[in-house]
Amino acid sequence: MGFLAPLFLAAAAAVALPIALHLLQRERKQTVEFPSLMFLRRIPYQSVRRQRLKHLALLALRCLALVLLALAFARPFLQGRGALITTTPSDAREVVLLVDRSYSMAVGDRWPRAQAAAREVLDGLRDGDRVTLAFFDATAAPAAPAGSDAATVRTVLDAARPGAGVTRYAPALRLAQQVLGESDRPRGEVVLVTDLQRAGWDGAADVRLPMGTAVITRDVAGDGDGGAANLTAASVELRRELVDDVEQVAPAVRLVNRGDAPATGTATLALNGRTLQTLAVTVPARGAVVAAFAPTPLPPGFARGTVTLAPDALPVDDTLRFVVSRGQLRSALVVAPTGAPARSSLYLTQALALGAAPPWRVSAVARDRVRPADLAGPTLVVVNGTALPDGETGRRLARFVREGGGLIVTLGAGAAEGGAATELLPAVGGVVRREARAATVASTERTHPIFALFRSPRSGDLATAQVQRYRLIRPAATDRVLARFDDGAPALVERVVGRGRVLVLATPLDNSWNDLPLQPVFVPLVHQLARHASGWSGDTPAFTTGEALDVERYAAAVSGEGVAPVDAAEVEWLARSPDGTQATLGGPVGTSLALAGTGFYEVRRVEGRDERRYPVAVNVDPAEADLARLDPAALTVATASGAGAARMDAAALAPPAQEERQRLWWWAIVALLAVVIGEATLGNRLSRARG
Amino acid sequence: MTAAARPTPAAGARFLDPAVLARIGNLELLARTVVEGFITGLHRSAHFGVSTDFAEHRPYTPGDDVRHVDWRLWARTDRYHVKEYEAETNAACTVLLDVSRSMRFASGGRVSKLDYARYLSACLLYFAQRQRDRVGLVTFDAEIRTYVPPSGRHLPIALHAIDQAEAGGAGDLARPLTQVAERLRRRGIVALVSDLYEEPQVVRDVVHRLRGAGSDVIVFHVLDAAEREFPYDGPARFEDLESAEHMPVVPEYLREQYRELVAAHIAALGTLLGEGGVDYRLLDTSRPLDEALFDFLTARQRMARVR
Repeated sequence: MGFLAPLFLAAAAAVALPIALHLLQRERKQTVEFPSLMFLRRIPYQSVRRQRLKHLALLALRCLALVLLALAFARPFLQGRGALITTTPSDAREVVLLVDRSYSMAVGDRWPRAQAAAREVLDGLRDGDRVTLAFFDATAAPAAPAGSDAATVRTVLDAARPGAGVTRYAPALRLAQQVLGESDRPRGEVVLVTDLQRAGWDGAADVRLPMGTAVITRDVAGDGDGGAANLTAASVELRRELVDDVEQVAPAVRLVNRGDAPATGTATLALNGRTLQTLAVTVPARGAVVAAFAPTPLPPGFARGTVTLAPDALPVDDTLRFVVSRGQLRSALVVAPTGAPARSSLYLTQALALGAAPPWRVSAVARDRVRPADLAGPTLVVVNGTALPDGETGRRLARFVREGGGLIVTLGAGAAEGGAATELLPAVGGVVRREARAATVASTERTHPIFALFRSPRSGDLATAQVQRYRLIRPAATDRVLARFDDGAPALVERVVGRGRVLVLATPLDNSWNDLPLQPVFVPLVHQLARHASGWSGDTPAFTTGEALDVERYAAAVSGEGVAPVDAAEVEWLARSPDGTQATLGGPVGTSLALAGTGFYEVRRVEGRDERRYPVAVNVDPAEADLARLDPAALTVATASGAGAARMDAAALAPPAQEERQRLWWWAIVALLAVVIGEATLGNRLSRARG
Repeated sequence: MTAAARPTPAAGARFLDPAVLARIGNLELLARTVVEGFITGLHRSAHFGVSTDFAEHRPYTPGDDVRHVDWRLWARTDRYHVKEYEAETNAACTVLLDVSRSMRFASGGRVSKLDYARYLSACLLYFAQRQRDRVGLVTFDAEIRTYVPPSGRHLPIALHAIDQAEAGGAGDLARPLTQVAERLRRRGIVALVSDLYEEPQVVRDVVHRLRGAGSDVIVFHVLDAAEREFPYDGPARFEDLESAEHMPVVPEYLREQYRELVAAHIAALGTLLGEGGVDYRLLDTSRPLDEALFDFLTARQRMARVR
């Protein structure tokens, strides 16, 4: 039985009123001294008794009327009527045994204790009980089929080991909710065997266990091991630089101490299994430091790096793996107008050369001197303020873009049409002169990767640039206008050609038609344009467990091949996980690889000319290293069923709907009417007898 | 003085309210106040009780009081004759005062039944003394408590006994009054003052036993108004003053039946006692004492006609 407005039930306390009056009246009954009871005794006593009984009946009727009124206003409804026709014993339980297998369970003797606690639960099962064992970290799934006998469950439990995942209580509780919801047992019980990490619960999970479900938390964290010093290698940043034209990398590792005591230890850097450097580190209690290793020359191909800390209470998070490759150093070719001063593209080349992510090797050449061979090396070509190369060079340029190269075209005085331009550029109109009142960039696609950097306030304003002249661009339907001038004319247009991208700016990146190079936003804007055009998505040296990796995009990014081809899904990939199991990706299953364990994954194309094996470094989520404790009451309270979630089909309806369907209040009112009529009749009869 | 000359109560003096009388501490003073006022109202000789009725003449013999010589007869016959009068009755007047615990009852600020009975007894005795009657007193509950035998000089003792009387134990009429009947050997007036919580037949039997000695019996039935009207409200526990028994009572539902029972009881007493030639008078403790005194006077006169 549930109530929509249970507060009205408090009104039933008004029943105390007539009872109190009745009792008060009885209290008032005093002793009267009377000369003789001679005559009183002759009056039949039963009549007095009967009167009194009638009074009691009257009192009961009035109380009943009050209770019925309160009941009707509380809007009652019946829940879980299906439970009445179950055939299982009335005290049979549906036990959902949830065992935490996140990597923090490997601390000390937590895992053996968790197993022991789970075994205790299995020992406590009675006839008719059904148990579902599930291990959970960031995900949860039944480890043994529902309804398995205790021996099977015990075998599964004994074979299990902590994984590399992070604790998340919500999926586990949601699984419990699902199991209990489908159960026909009258009683539900959820046993949570965990080390109660606070990081695993954000309190927002919308999990409501069926009403009456007992949530039992078995805490297996030892006393005090939550506060012990625990050093975690949380993340790595790879700083690249060119020393004598040799690409070097300087890994900077962020070390976090989650314990309440300062931690001292060592951090050792190894590349491809070769130990290179060891640093002594001291991290304050609940603090973090960055351990910066000296620059190291990169070996050819993909290098597998590890940073290893001295072992502590939780060894899983003491090794940080990353992948680093030489390919990140990019070349850019700047094509300048023929006959223009050599310094005309100075702003552009200097701005590009300043970049570190990725570092650019920039070469500038005049339009008439560009040879097809010049397009073999770079990943980015910038045609600054001049027409596209024509002839063989133009065709070579078009192929370069189709194969994944990036092209930035800024329109200037010498824009030409035909040739490669037909494929690569939208239609270009005449020059718009705005000498009297300069044009400004008025609107941008703020969510586009190029402009995402300038989205927040005070992080660069493109509108400060004054544009005196620009060329009118007439974008095709497939082109995307990323920025417009204040008169609505397109300022920046993106076109995807094959696997490559073309960005067309309506005004050149020098200070002849505009003062853009003099604005603070110039350098970041150039970098953003270059990154986007060349398809550089940033260093991804490592992933964490639980992430899903699109191997196609990953391969494209780390190999510097630009954007992934549209038909990438048709290519099959072979992925090998750290424990040696192989999986085929691509085609109908997609190219998404679930990263479950820590270590180095390896992916490669099944066929084709690309023989390279791409390593993928996977580390544990450093958030799991935070052993801070959660109050188990938080889980119990958050999952307690307030409005009565439900185990039976009747309860699948929301309470208001159930109440609306049953309309029990109406029957309460009818009963109230009957009681009131009875009360009036009896009261009448009594007062007549009295009169 | 004859019965025809009996004054109506309305013509009587302003009798004081019993509640006012209660303030007079001295019983004799109280009785005198009541009785003298009563007699003044009658406009009669103070020597009311002495018989002056002429019986016969007899010849004077030396030694006779010359004041009794009938001088008118001497003038007619020239012989000395002495007047002879009817003998003085000198009746014995005994008051039987019920002092059982039920007499303690009082309601609504009225005097208790016992106090009322005491005033009444004092007045009766004083009045009788004024008539030169011999006065006696018996107080009783289930036993005889005090016994003052009738005597011309016993008024102070009787008044003192009345003064000292207190409501005692449980009441019983038959036993003590049978004993009294055995002791009253001479004829006289017997006034029974009681609340008569007894079956009417029992009362009749007892009273007849008293009459058996030749006495004239007056029964004063003293009741508080509450005993007849039953004016209680709300359920209450009623306690019997004599037996201390309890009984839960809802007066609203019992009142009518109770009134009927009490009325039937009074009617039965009146009928049964009247049939036996006994004067029965119901007295309400809120009413003045005159009615009782008139009844007593009537009985006294009846006695006076008896030689």
